[in-house]
Amino acid sequence: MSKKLLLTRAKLKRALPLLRGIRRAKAQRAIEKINEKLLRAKVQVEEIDELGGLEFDVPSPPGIGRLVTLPFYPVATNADVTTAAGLNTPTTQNPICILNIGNTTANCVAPFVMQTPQISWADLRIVGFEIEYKTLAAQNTSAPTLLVQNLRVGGGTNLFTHQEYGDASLYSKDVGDYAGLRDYPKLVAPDFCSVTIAAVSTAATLDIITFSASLVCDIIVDKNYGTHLVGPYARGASLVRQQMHT
Amino acid sequence: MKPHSHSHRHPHSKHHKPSGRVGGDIGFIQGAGRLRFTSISPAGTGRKVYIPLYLTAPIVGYQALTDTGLAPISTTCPTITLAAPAANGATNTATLVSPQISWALLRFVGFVTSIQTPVIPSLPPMDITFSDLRLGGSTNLFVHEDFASGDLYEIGNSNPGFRYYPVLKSPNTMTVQVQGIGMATSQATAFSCSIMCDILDDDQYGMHISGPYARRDTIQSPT
Repeated sequence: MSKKLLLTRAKLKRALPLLRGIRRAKAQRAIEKINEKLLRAKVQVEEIDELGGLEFDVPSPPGIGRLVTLPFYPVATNADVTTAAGLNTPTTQNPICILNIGNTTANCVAPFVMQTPQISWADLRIVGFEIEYKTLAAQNTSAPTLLVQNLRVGGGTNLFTHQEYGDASLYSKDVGDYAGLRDYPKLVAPDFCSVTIAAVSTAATLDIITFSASLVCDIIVDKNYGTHLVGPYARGASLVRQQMHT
Repeated sequence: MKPHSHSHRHPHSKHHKPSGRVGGDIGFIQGAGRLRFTSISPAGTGRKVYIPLYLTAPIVGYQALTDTGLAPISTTCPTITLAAPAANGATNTATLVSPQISWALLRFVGFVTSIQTPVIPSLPPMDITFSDLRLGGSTNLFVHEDFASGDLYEIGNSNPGFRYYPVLKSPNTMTVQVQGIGMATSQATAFSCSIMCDILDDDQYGMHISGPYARRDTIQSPT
């Protein structure tokens, strides 16, 4: 009985896109009736659909203007930091930094500040912080660790929950999800965002970290590409369950 | 010397992760056909924030790695280097403590570690183990009453569960016991650990709603 119903249902569903008007409505009603019969017979309709019980997920881009990456640039360096402009030379052109552990003080790289450029052509909402890093260490020793502190927009309050240093691996791009922040504030020029970076290692000298840090933002308004809707994670109302009204 | 990237530790990058269930005919109606398009996203304001635990009392074998060099304790830098035990077996046990967060009401939802085990050890590698994760004087939040490997809680693992998600309110702090297991010849190993929280109320940024995983009514089947 169920098998016959399923075959009829499959035929009707295949034909449905080709039908118009009253014939389409009739086919739809027939499918619904069969669905009811199948449910009464405790046959899981969803599972026997054309999917064959499989569900298909496609990793997709997040939508226009969402989860864009805005790098921090080394604007105040020290003698442990090499940038695209050279040793201990700030640059606003390239965000990559190379840190030499123990260059001036054993086991560490002294703290320095990186900051984002002013984005005059867009209003952004900060929704995350990401860091990518590669380490050079003797293969039989612990790799050096990058530390981050004081993520701020303009004169705002720290967006990290940790008031002191935190391990940058919490914010690594290789971790499967995004680390949270205390708030998702707007970033509008002339404001910029800054973060303090340091590094430590069990080795007194010679370990190296090559890294860059970035903000993850949603674009609210772009002067060239228009207005976008930020993701649901950045819309307060969409984090609250809505009461269903019937 | 050998360069090594950390990317191999986390095969599911945030840009390639399946999730969720096809919602009946909804996807079909919305023009997605029979495919479901998913994108990994931030968790929402004030959710899944991290607070490191620090070595606040000196203990033999443990040293904090700070931005001014090695130190017996640190309330600012969470990375710790643990030397090999004096004899084969366990090292001393240290207690790590989270700072008092006076400006926010938090809900504990997780515990993560970052352990820098040498990529190709030339000496017996140490394991860093944890026990007794407590909020103030509360009961242990780990299900294991004794030590378990910190690798189980490595950042990037799929959020191991805990006995409860208690509210963390100042002056309470979180504490955890840590101990290394190795040979007397083992190489020193660096590590850090943090708790993961949802912010319920922040003096500067206002009130937030915690994730559904931390709201009891949302993880029960509707009647």
